[in-house]
Amino acid sequence: MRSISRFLLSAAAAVAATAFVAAPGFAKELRILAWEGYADPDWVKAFEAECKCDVSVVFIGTDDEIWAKIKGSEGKDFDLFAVNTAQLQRYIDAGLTTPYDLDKVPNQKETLERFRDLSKVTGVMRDGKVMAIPYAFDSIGIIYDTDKVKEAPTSWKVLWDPKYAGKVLGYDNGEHNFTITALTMGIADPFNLTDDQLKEAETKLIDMKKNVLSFYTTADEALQLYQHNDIDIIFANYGQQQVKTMLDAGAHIAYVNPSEGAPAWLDTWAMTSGVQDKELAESWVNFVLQKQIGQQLSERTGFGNTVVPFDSAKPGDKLVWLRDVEDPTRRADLWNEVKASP
Amino acid sequence: MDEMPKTLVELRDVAKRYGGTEVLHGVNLALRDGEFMTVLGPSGSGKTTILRIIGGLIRPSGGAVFLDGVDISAMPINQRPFNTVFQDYALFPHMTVAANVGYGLTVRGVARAEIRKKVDEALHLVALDGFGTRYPAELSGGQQQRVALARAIICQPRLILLDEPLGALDAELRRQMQRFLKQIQREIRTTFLFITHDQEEAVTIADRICVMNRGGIEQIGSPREVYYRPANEYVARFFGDNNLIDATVADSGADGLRLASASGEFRARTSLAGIARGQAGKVLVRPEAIVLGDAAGGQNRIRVRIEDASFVGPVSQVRVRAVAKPDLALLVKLPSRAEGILLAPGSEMEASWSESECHFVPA
Amino acid sequence: MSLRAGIDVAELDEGRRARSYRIATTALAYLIPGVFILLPLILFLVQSFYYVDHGKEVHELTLRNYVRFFNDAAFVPVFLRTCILCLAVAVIAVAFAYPVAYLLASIEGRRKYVFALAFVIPLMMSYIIKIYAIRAILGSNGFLNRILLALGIIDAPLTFLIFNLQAVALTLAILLLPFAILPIFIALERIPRNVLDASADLGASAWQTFRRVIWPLSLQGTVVAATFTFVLALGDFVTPQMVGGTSGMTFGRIIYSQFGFAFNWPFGAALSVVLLALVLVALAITGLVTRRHPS
Repeated sequence: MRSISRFLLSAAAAVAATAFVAAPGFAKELRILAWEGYADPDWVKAFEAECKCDVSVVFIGTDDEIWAKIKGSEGKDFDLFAVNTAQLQRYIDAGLTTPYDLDKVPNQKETLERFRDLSKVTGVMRDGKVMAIPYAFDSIGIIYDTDKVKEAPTSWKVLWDPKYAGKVLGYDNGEHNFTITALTMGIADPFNLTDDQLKEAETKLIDMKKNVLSFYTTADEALQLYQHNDIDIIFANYGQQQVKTMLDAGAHIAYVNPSEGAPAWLDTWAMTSGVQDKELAESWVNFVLQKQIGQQLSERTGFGNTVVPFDSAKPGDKLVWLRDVEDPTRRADLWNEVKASP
Repeated sequence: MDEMPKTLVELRDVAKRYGGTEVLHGVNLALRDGEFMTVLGPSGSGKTTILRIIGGLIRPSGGAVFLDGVDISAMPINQRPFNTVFQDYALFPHMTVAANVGYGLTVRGVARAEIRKKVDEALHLVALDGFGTRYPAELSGGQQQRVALARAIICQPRLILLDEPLGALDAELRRQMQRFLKQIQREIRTTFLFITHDQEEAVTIADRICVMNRGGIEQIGSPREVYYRPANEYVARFFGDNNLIDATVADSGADGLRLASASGEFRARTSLAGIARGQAGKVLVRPEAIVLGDAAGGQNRIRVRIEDASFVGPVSQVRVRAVAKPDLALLVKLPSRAEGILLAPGSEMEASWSESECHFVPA
Repeated sequence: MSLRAGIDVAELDEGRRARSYRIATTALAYLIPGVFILLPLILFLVQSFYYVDHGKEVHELTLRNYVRFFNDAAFVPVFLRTCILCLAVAVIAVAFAYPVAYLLASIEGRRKYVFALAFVIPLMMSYIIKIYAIRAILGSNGFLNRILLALGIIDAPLTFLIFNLQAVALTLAILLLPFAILPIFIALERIPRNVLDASADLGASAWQTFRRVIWPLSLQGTVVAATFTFVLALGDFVTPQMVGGTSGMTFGRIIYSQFGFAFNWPFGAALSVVLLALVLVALAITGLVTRRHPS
């Protein structure tokens, strides 16, 4: 009885509020800056209906573009933005973010185990405050030809396995090659290597080069190389996107995250320092952390979502969230030396 | 010419077709050893085609070419003992004058010292001593011309073919080169076949002239023959401003022809064989053979009225018209005089020419 | 008198206008290359004397980039290897281009220009697509291997066709072939027909005519062709990556990585200056060779 009256009361209040506001829009407005695929129109429409608000979404194409837009307006032009954990740090450093109140994001408790305890997700917390909430991710792993490789590889060491000499496709980028080599060497923080560790990794990479047929730069290029050559193992820099490209082309392949850990990028939602309606922003994050949206996100983009298990990672897979490396210039130089070595 | 010189090169029924067009049909030509022959004709008459067929640059479509009585139609160009002086000289721009001149010997594998000696001789012959180290681009047109000549004679060919070699030179240099060529030809005693479209040049330079027209030969003969005794109206018209009068043969005898025309009867001496009574043709008389004045005494006479007289350098041209038959106009050329020619237009007098200056060409 | 004066003034005006027009066009003729070519080059040269410290460009003039190039064990060998590779490209391209250009030039009439154009058309196609096509032909599962296998000529796919330096040289030579064909074709085209006739007429065999007349007269074009291909191959950084496999490391790729990955623009600029110096040397040699004859 009481509940009914409370419902009626709130309904009346809502009607009054609606009537008070000018007809086409709602008083509440949410401004989102995100990658394509992170705020699809059907989700936006559903959210607008649920929260009685207007949502405007601006899509971006590069990390630098996000920085330009957020930093340029000192966070005032947007309420919420999508950013990966490596990039996130400079926004926190610059005071461009607002911490979350996790009570306002109850669905966060329902996320996959590896994302549930945010203190264990590197980079999203600062000084005990939650600065960002994980939303989508993908890993860098290994693609193998299921016709030719009968037993699924489990380790990055397969790239060095002489059994696959001349049948390994490498990726032409110093940063990630040093990262996975460091993981193979058992180094805990593969993003901060000492000079000795870099030198040792370089030697190992020169060894790996002897096993590699060629280094590719784009997913399309990798597919073309795979189609015209005898290739068993691919260093899959583009993760699920690359898997999808190859499966669509009819390739018989599978994907694994090696046991030493697969480097992975993790995109999060972060609130700007200029957020106008903090609760509305938090309710958007809560909204998109639904199982149904998580499933759709993965199906549509191929990326892993944080709510429903998907192809990017099995529950037990070890993922190493990507961070800025100690010295990109140094890694590029060393990678050149690797490639220039006879 | 006490004894008939032997034939060097002979063309028998030589024809050339390009696609459907015949540029040369059934040409017969015998080139005598040691002579200077000019092939004369307007452009498109086939004269260059003849030269290229003899030289071996193109193959005839029909007939055959003989050298010393041997068929050489299939002999490749580089084996024929003939050399050519090309229209625009075709010197090798990347070689010195000496290398150009010595080229024919070089490709034959002649020893260097020998080549140097012969090159010096050839350059001396064409008066280009000391020019050996220059490049063709550093020479004048006349000098390039002489290099081309030296290059052609160095291998001592049996025949030198010259394809309008003087076309690019100015009038004065042209006359010099004509004398020069003639002199060299006598010096080296080699047969020259010289192509030109300039009848004055042909007459000046040649022992014999071959007059061509539309892919065929109209007449072969000495300059005097083709000039004074043209075989047909084409040749007659080709050599200047001949007066041609329609006539038929009234009588032909050992002492000459009697020719009937609308303007009266003419007498002519001619060596042309096979001219019979009743044959139609033209009476030909050269403008310089006509004498004006009542006192003159040629066998052929017409009374004419002076139309006008004009001074054109060494000769003066006088136009006259027959009094009895005004549609007969004649051109007369007289030696110019400082005081002018005292012939008043409208005055009447006798125009006469001798039997021996009168010629008949069958139609 | 007044009329004449009027005319004079008009003529004077005309002359002044013509002169200022001439000055303006001359200024433009110097300004445009100056602004768009020389200025960037100078900026580039200046940048090559800066350096990068912890990801930040320091605008202090120093020779350290050049010192590093000559001292680092990785760069000089790659530089030399790249020179040899590009020489090989030039030789291969010219060796293929010469006969093609020769055949083109010997076609009668205007048809030759149509055929010549046909050889230039590939220049308008995407470079990357051409490399993809070459890879599709030469790969171990590629077109060529499949044909050879189907014909029973080989039992196992040939793997030496691609992903080595020879493949880079061959691919670059094929890609740059039109640049080699054109100058040779033009040089051969310019040899007057009657010069060749003269050679034969003077007793030279076809081979002698080629060796003594055609070859020397087309040498300039051939040297230009070799220079074109050498210089263009030097600057290429895509082909080595795509068909060179693990041994496709060339100087162009090192420069590319300085701009694309290492973000060390000053060092990249210094390496580019080294490459530019090499290009200038190549052009100077070409100039010397082609100026030998006053023809």
